[in-house]
Amino acid sequence: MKRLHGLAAAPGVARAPWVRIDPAPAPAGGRTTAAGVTGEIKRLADASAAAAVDLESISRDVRDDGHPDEAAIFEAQAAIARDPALAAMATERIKDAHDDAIAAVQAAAGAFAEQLRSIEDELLAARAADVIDVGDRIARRLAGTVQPTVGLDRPAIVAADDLPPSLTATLPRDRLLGIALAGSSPTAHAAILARAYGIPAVVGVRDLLETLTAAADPGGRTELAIDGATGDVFVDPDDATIGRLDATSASGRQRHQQDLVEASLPAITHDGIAVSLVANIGTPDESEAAVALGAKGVGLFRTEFLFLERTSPPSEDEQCAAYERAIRAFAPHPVTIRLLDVGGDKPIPYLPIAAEANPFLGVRALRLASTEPDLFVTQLRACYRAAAAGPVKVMAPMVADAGDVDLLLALAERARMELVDEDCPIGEVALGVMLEIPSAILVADSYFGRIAFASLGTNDLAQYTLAVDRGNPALERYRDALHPAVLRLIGQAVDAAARVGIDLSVCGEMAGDPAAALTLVGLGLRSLSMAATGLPAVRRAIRVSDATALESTVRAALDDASAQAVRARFGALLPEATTA
Amino acid sequence: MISRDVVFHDRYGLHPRAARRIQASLDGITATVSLTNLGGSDSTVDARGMLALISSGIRTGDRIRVSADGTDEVAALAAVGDLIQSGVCHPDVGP
Repeated sequence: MKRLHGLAAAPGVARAPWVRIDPAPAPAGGRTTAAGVTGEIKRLADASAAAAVDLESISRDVRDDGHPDEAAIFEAQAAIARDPALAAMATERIKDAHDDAIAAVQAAAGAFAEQLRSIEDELLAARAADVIDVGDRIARRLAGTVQPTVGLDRPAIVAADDLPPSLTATLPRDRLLGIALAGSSPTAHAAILARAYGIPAVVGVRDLLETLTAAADPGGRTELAIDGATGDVFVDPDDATIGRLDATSASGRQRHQQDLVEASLPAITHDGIAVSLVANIGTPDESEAAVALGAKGVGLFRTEFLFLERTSPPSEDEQCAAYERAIRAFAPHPVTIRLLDVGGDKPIPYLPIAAEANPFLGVRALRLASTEPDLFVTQLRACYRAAAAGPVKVMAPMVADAGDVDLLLALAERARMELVDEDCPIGEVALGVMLEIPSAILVADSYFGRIAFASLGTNDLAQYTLAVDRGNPALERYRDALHPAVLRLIGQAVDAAARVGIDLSVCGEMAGDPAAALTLVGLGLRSLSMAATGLPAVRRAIRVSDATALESTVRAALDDASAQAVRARFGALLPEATTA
Repeated sequence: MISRDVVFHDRYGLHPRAARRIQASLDGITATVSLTNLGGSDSTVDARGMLALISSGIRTGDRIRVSADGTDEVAALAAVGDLIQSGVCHPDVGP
């Protein structure tokens, strides 16, 4: 067995013999003569139109399969084939350089692709592949050849260097069990299509084709196994690996049943440390599923759904009704409502936010309150009113220091006093902050005494601590919040909270990752909030752990050189069931 | 000629599908329409040009001036401006 590692592109496990696909090279271009120019220009126009018709037909097929978003990929490719700019540049090549139509269209597509690759945005630069794909399709039309469709004579995993989107869409899906690519990226159209079709895929697998060539036996019976959720690739997997992967795929449904049964078990370590597991929700509609998976309350109720994609702000009554729905679903456990978290990167037509070079370092979230206090007072009024239905906590995002805490407390007091003056029934609201800016942790002692709780937003905390744009795929190395620098900051927050005796929890993605959750317990966290789907695995991991051992592991991890080293330490402590 | 400034709100930037929707929003409109990226490059591209649009490097958060010229320029500005403002394909609703 040989184990390779790539990037997870579409979840699921596949195990089967592989079929290597080497997309046929585009036809070679040639030259024409002065006499041939007019004819080549005409041929180019006809071939471009024919390629566009082909692509529109693929688009229709994909749409008829129930994937309208993915169909749009090919509609866009058809529009590229019809773009007069492509024809104009190719025509110029025919006229001036006497390229034949094939060479001309390849040169023109290549020039546009080059322009795309120079864009300083990985996602947009990756779309150069679409332009090349279109250019090749027109060239094939000109040469009278077609990209041979891949006929799989039996169920197989397709292995290739890369797959152009149009080829991916035409693979025979009844026999396509998985996709493994040496190149490409999780944001490429091949990966997007695989996710839409539910086909497991791993991309960016270094040495894939070389390893497969070396392992090939004449009968083609050697198997390949891929795990599209982890990026693992096994060439000629051994029995233990096969057993583990089969268990992963076969037990998916059983697992969910087991999750529901285990939902009532307490998240308590061997040595008796209880951890409160609660849910992150984005709308009240998610409450039922979270309660079923054992969420004992909500640690992060994102409220942006109420504010986005509308032309006027939601009324106090509308907000109150939405909050009450969640509060009733989780009662008697508390629901933690996060105040509006938006900035220059999110469109809110009724809330003019000036364009900013760095919206994540700009006027966002609570920082909007200095110019839009009524927006926040209305939301806080809705929270106080909803609190009459059950326990409510409210936290402010983007808090940098004590001054922001003063602002939060003043806004909340204004909301509360207004309601008291109006004789409106209200409930108790615990006020707290999100810890996502490093400064807020460094000076926590200056304001922790005035709030009831704090919650670590580890996604942004890692982004701001490590100076890593959350959306930039080029910075993958820095993405892991288990970085010792982040852990040290979390440790400081734990100490500061203990000094004044306020509750501290975590509501970032980190809490839903079993290895990271154990790290957080080792750091002293006793409340973790995560997407509800993460609850079962984290509960299992905690139930087989020993808090004392986690604490000593954390002490060593703080001196590790990288997040990977920390992850290895805690990954080794996970129960087999959560790593499979 | 009339123009309108909007913020580009597709979280993946001006990718091919977004370009196609912008192009398609002008079906039946005769006015010439262009987009100018007021943020960095200040470059101007034809709103009907697929390759020009996707090569423009417009990203979410960029300020865009939509300009239209022709008898139906008002309709053109509304069609393209509203589409861009509403997020084209992927309204930028972050975590």
